[in-house]
Amino acid sequence: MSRAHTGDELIKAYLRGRSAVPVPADLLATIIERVRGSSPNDRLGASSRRDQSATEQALTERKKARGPKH
Amino acid sequence: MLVAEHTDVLYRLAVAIVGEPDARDIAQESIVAAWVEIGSLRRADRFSAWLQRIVVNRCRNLLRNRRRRGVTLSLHRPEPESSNPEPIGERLIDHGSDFRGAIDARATLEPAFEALSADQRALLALHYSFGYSIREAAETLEIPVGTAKSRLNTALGVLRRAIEQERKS
Repeated sequence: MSRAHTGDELIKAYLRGRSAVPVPADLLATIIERVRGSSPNDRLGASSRRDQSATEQALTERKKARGPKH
Repeated sequence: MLVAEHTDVLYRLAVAIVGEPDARDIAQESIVAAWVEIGSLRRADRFSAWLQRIVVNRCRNLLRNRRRRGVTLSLHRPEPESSNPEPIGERLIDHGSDFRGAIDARATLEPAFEALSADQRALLALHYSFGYSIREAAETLEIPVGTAKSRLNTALGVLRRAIEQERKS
């Protein structure tokens, strides 16, 4: 086997190895959940939902930072 | 379900182009975007290729942002989330390389691969990881076959030079 051939074999093995990964177990479920929450051609709706979610998260974090009410 | 059919390939394509840490988000965002934009699909028989192009476009944007921010990736991979924590070296062994050689090749090739564009990476992935012919890869990416060949040769040249330099040093 020539050195050049060996090099190409290494490259091919490396490239195959890059994508030979297990798919995260919960990925499909997460995607299905997100797809169900989106309507086709409803970009504004999806964007609004993201904004709403971000706002809710920010409010929760602010409440946590403030601590419990006395 | 249609989503289930494509998730695996789209995730692996994203991993091949941008690596595991960002692939999850890319796959998710691409499928949701495809669902939202389904009305813009011109040919139903090209659905799979259309999805793959969405992934490649998102990977291209991500790489562009990474380069703007000067982000470089380390060779360290995150802990796998699935039940199959197979290290990269093991994966390469399965394809016929010896362990030492596979690890050396990865350390040598990773920086060279990081220098490639998203389009070059996508071609390498489709052709070598997914077994597409050059014509099929070109059709998927909607580029002329000659352009695909040229990009592939350029990308392979970068990787070959990295190995040659390693051997000389």
